[in-house]
Amino acid sequence: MKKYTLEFDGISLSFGAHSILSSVYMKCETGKVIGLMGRNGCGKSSLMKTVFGSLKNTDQSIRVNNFPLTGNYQRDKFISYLPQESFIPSHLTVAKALDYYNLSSENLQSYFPDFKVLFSHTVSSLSGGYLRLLESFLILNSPHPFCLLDEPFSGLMPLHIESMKELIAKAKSTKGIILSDHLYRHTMEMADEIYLLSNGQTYLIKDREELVFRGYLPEPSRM
Amino acid sequence: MQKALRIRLLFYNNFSLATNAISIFGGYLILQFGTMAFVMPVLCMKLVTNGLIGLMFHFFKQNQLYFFQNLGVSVTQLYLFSFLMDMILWLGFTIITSFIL
Repeated sequence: MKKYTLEFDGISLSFGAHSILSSVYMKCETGKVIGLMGRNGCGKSSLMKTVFGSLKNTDQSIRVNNFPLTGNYQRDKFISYLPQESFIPSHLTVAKALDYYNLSSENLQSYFPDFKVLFSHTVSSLSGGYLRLLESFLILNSPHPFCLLDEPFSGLMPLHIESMKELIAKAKSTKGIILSDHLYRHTMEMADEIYLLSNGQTYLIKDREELVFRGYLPEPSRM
Repeated sequence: MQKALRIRLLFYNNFSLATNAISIFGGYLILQFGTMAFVMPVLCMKLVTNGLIGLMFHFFKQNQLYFFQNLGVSVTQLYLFSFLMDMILWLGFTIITSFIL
């Protein structure tokens, strides 16, 4: 399996006078899960959209194996992105959505048996949790060597969270995954490295105490 | 190639009902007034309405773009294909109308 390294730095982003991202550096290699944490509104989603290429930014350097990604680089299929919001056209059936991504119903069913009766259903008729599972399945099984997952556990029941973690662990064998979710216990459990986005900068986190120190987690006595 | 076309047609389906309704309305005007002089005004109307429909999609259904971008198709390619597809259909429809006339 070819090894890939995704690196990005120099990403700065501001809305009006309000600076969101000022000096961001992150590195992700295939075979690793990188956790991205940060308070609400600190710019995690904007950072992911910028790296994916849907949010344009003049001052940035995004590289795969030191090859700079510029222009409409989505066609190069290096990076796939699971946004927070639902993104599958609502009139598609589950089977059709899988077909567009060259995935089989059996494969989805092996992870999530509940889908057995849902293949002919339209995406708009799925519950929020099942929709999230389907979306995550599409992204994690895409051919891209890197996946950006924005809140993949959002709306999932505990049983499905465990299945999702299995799916991420399997995808990790061939991909590099950047995972952002406020269910930090699951994120920390999955992640090989943790970055915290705070005040527009990223910090490589050594342990849980550092997350407390940097104001992302409450003091243990308050939990 | 076939898959690439299917992906782009899926995106175009978001607009096809509205844009083809406008093309049919343009054809109706030409037939009703019995003159091809309406072709240019109808073309202008199509350009304006296509722009408005595209803007509405971009504001209200922007998240859907990720479905296509994750399949390796850029936003520019999607909108350009939809525009060209609509223009080809409109042109074909107008030619048929001219024969009826």
